[in-house]
Amino acid sequence: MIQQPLPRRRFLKLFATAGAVATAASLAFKMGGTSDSEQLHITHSEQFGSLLAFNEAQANTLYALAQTFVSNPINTSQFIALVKRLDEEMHFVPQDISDNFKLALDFLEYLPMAYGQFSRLSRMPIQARTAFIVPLQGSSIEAVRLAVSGCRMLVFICYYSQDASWDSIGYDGPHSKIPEKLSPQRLHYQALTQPGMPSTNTRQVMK
Amino acid sequence: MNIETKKERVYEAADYQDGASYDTQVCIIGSGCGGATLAKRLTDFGVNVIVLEQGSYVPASKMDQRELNMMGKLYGERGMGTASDESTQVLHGNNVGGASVHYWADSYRTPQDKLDSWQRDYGLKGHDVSDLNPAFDEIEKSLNIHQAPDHLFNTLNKKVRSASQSLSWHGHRVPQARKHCASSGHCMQGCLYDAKQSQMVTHIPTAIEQGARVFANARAGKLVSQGGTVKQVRVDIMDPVSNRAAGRTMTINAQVVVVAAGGFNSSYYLLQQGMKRQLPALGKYFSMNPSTMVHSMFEEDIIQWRNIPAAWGIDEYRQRRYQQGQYSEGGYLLMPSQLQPALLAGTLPGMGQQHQEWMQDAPKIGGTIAWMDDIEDELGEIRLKSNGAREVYYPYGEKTQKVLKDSVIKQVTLNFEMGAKKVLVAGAQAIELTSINQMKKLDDLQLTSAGLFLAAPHPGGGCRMGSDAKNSVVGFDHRVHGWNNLFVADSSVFPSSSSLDPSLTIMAFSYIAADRIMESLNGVHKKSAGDR
Repeated sequence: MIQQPLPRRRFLKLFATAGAVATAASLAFKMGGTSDSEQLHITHSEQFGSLLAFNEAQANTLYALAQTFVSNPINTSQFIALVKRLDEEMHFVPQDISDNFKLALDFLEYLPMAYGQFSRLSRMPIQARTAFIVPLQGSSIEAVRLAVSGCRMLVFICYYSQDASWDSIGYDGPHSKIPEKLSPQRLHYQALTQPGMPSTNTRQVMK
Repeated sequence: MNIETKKERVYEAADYQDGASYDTQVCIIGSGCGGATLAKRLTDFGVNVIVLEQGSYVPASKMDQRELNMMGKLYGERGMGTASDESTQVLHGNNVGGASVHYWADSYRTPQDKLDSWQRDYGLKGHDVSDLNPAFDEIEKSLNIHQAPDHLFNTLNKKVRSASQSLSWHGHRVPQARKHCASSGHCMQGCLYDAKQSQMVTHIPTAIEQGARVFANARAGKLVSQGGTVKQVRVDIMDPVSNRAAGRTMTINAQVVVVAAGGFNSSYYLLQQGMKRQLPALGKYFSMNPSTMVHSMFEEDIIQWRNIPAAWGIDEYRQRRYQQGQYSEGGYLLMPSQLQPALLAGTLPGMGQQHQEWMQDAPKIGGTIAWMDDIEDELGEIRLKSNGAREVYYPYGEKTQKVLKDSVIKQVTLNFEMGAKKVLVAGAQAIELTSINQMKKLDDLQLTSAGLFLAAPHPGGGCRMGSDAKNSVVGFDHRVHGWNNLFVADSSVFPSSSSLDPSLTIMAFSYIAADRIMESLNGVHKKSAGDR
């Protein structure tokens, strides 16, 4: 368990060690974990359908983070839509940005292990997950602060871009009230992720 | 398709033939304030011009005022790029018209103190007030630039104006490039009403009318040169569907090539051409007006997302102040903030319950932003990563951090003076104050690496203008040192930060660049210091 702040180091350099952390976490996971949360996790994975940027593990981590960040009560389909939309965005942004974001997800997924929590983030009950993540947003460890902050910002931008979120915050929507006009890229993503289309990221969830 | 010289529209990916080749007098890379204005000005003189724009053409008919949709259509990196600190959001355009399509329409003349500094400290020539004023006069007229009238002040702007007056902080009506504004508040999503006088609805159509060919979805690639003269620009046609190169190419044969890809990308483009060895200053002296934000909660509805973003600006602290040689305060322009809900939520700190408590009262949220004038000896650098990607390196040095902190303190003061019942500093620590007496909470404010959530929409430098190739990239004629026919015309030539929104300065500089390019085309070419 970490008693002292880790030395400050560059975000990406620290993330480069995520593989080692993941390996250790995987080993530990075999010794623990909750069957209830795992069942929930698998169910969500099936609902994501085809993904172009994220693998299933990253999608699950993102889903878990979104549940933590957004306390506004929303249903599962809205969280799934949020994950899908960020998958779409990450498919079209430059590789550098997409890689950084996915690295942040990988890092946060296994971060609880470094703090003595014998579970991956996505498998923690939501109360425990919230209790773990909230204090980290102002962490003195640069890499932790950046990972949480980066994911937090994109989740909120994505969530509050959705029409379904507007009523709850008193936003009256676009000034013109015109319907959405999907770009060629958005239509392309929809076509590529139709049911039956394979994900381009097929890496298996580590179990 | 055979592309004629007199088409009254922008060409797009489907119009191009693989392997096609086009001749022109001037090829301009980039269609934002620098490139579009230059195209307009050169076609005023009857010059044959091709403009290359890697992004798409997004006229009002393709806009829908939805934040994430429009970020994908208008913003470079879909608005998700960051500086090297991983937490400063860098904002620039990736569409015909560039950032002018999503900017706030603030249109300032270059401040006299800045011009004085550029002349005194950097030896700038040919860009003083007498050179720029004719351009300012003409552009202000053609873009209908005028001071924000009363009816464009929303509640937040009124509060900022009132508070600045009660604090005796000098302010001003912000000059706006608008015509028949619908007060939608969607400036950052592109103007569905064509009221904002962006380059897309002003200089681009004028240039096309005068014979310019504007190629959207056309990314400039390799510059083919011989003996210091660029002969060709190779062009990759971009697929607007996949957002990747389509595997088709074109070639532009030009007498003159002008890089006008914007402050974040012009030096990056030249770095990609392998020019760093020849031009050691390439990418250096980069500024970006890093901007701090403070959110505030009011008793009454504010509705910050309607009407124009910034009708009132506070210039009391625009210039840094020193006491006995030590920094004391200032160095930024204060303005009301305007964010639609998604970006508001993204920059609103906290998560879970705390975040929700604020967002559920979103109509009552106001706030301010401070555009920092970059510290001259703590500037950043545009770099080329080993994988070919662009790095926006910004050091956030000690002096910069002092200014950032002071900007937060002044914004907290301002927001409470505006009548806020609580104030939230945009940063990872989610510091919330319920009284001006709690200012001590800011003592331990983290300033870098997400300590503050910063935005940077005003890049400058990287191709600094000067006389010496050792510490500058272009001469005072905008021509790249050592090259006969390669020019730069955008904010990347600025010697230092422009202090205010740079759009009008960029346009006026393009007028001067046009004059120098005309001299070059007419054979009036003098080699500047640093030439080979």
